[in-house]
Amino acid sequence: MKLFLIFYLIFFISIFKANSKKLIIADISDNKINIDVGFKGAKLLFFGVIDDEGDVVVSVTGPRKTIEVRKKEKKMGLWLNSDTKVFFDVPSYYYVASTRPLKELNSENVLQINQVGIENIRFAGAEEQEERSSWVNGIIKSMIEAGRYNPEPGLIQISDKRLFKTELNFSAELVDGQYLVDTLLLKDGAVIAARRSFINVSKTGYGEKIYKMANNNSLLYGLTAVFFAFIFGFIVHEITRRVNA
Amino acid sequence: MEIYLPIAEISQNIFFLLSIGFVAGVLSGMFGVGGGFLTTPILILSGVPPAVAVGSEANHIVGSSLTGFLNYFRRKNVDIVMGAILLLGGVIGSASGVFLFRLLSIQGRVEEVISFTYILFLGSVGIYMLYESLKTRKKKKSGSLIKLHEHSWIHGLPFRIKFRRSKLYISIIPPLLISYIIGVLAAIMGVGGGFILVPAMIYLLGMSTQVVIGTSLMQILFVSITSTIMHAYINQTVDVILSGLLLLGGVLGVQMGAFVVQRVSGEVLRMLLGIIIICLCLFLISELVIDPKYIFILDLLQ
Repeated sequence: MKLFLIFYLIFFISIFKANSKKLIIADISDNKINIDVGFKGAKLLFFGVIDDEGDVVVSVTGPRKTIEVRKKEKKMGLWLNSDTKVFFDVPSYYYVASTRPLKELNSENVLQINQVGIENIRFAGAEEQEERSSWVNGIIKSMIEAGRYNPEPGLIQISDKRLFKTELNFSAELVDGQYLVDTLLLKDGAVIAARRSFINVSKTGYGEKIYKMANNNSLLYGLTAVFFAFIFGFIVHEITRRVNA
Repeated sequence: MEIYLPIAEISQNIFFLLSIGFVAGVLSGMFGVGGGFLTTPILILSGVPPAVAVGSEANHIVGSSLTGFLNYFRRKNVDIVMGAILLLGGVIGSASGVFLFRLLSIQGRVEEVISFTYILFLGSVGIYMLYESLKTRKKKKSGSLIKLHEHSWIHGLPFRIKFRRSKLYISIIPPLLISYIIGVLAAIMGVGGGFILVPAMIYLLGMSTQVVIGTSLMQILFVSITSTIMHAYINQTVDVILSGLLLLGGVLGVQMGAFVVQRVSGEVLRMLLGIIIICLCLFLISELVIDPKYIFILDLLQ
C-alpha cells in the first residue's frame, strides 16, 4: 500500500511537471478535407491559446513523396536534359504562417531544425551530388510554380496576448493523405512549446470511386473507359447524321 | 469553372479542357490524325502529369476517332483492307518500339534521340507537303493533266492485292513496312502516329487524300483502344473525367472538320496539314533553343 502511494505520488508529480511546461492548445475548424469532383481548394480556420507571450509559427506539411527531377543544360546552343536524380520524402505540400515575418523572429537555428519556412525544408536523395543545393532550390521553385508550396507566409493574429488564429489556405493541388500541422511557440529564439495536429485529406464522391476503380480494378477500368468513349463517339455520330440529313 | 481530375490529382478549368478538345476534334475531322501530337504537350504544359496526359489522351482519341471513322465509312471513304494491313504492321511495329525504347533508355540518351528524330521527321514531311501542294495547285490552275499517282518500283513488289477503295493494285509489302516503321516511331514518341501515317499514305502509296483520312482514322481507332487498355491496366494513368471533357469539346470540332473536308480540295488540305506540321516542328526547335523558365523539371512518382 505504501509502495503504491509512492508510485502514485511520483506519477502525480510527473504530470504536474509536464503541465508546468508552457502550453499550446489548438484546434482546426475541420480536420478533414474532402476532395470531390468540384474541389477548388479549401480554407480552414486554425485557432488556439498560448499560455505565455511569444511568437506563434504554424507550418502545414503534406504527405512526403518520391520525385524524379530532370535538369536541363545548354550544350552547343541547345537545351538538353543533362541529368536525372531521384529525391525522397519531398513534402507534396507546404504552407507556413507566423505572427511576424520569419526573418524578424531571430530564430534561424530553431526554424532550421524544425524545418519551418520554405528554405528550411529538407529531404533525402542525391546526397553525393555536387551543388545539391541548386537542385533543392530548383525543386522548391517548381513546387511554388505548381501551387504546392506557398512562397508568401500567412499571418497569425494574436488577440489578448493569448488567443491566436489564422486561416490555412489550401490550393486545389492536394494529394490525399495525412497533413501535419505543427505549431511552435517561440520566445527569445527558442521553442518553449510545440503541438502537432493532423488534417486528413481524402477523395470522396465520384472522384473517390473513379480513383479506387482505376487502382483496384485496372483492367475493368480500362475496358469501361474504352466502352464509354465508344458509346460517346457513336452517339455523336448518330446525332449529327440525323441533324445533317 | 474548375473541376478536379481524380487521377491527375489536380484541378483544371473546364472551358480550357473543352477548347483543347475542340481543336483536337477539328484536326481529327479534317486530317484523320488523332490530335495527340498537339493536345498531349498542351496538357503537360498546363500541369497534368505527363503519364496521365498520354494515357487519358489515348482514351480521348478512341471516342473522337470513332466518330470520324463512322463519318468517313458512311461516305465510303475507308479502305478496310488497307486499314487492316496497316494495323497489322502498326501492332508489330509498336511492340518492337516498346522494346527499342527500353534499350535506348538503358543507354540514357532516349529523350534527345526522340526530339531530334521528331524535328527531322516533322520538318522534312511538312516542307515536302507544302511544296507539293503548292505545285499541284499551280498545275491545276494552268490546266495541265494530273496523274492519279506516280507508279514506282515499290508498287511492283510481289504479293499484290487489289485495294478497291483506294483504286490501287499494289504489293502489300510497302504498306506493311510503312506501318511497321510508324508503329516503332509512335511507341517511342508516345503518339498515335497519324500525322506521319497520313503523308506516308498520300505520297508513298499514292492514295487519294479523302480515303487516306478515313483509313488512317480506322488504324488510329484500333491503336488507341489497345493503348488505353494498356495504360489503364499497367500504369493506372487514364483519367476518364479528363478524357470525357476533351471528348465533349471535340463533338463540335470533329463535325466542323468533316464539314470543311467536303468543301475543300485535297491539295488545300495537304497544304494546311503541311503548315501545321511545320509550326509544330518550329515549336519543338524553339523549346530546344530558347532559355527555359525552369531548369529543373519535376515528376511526382508516388
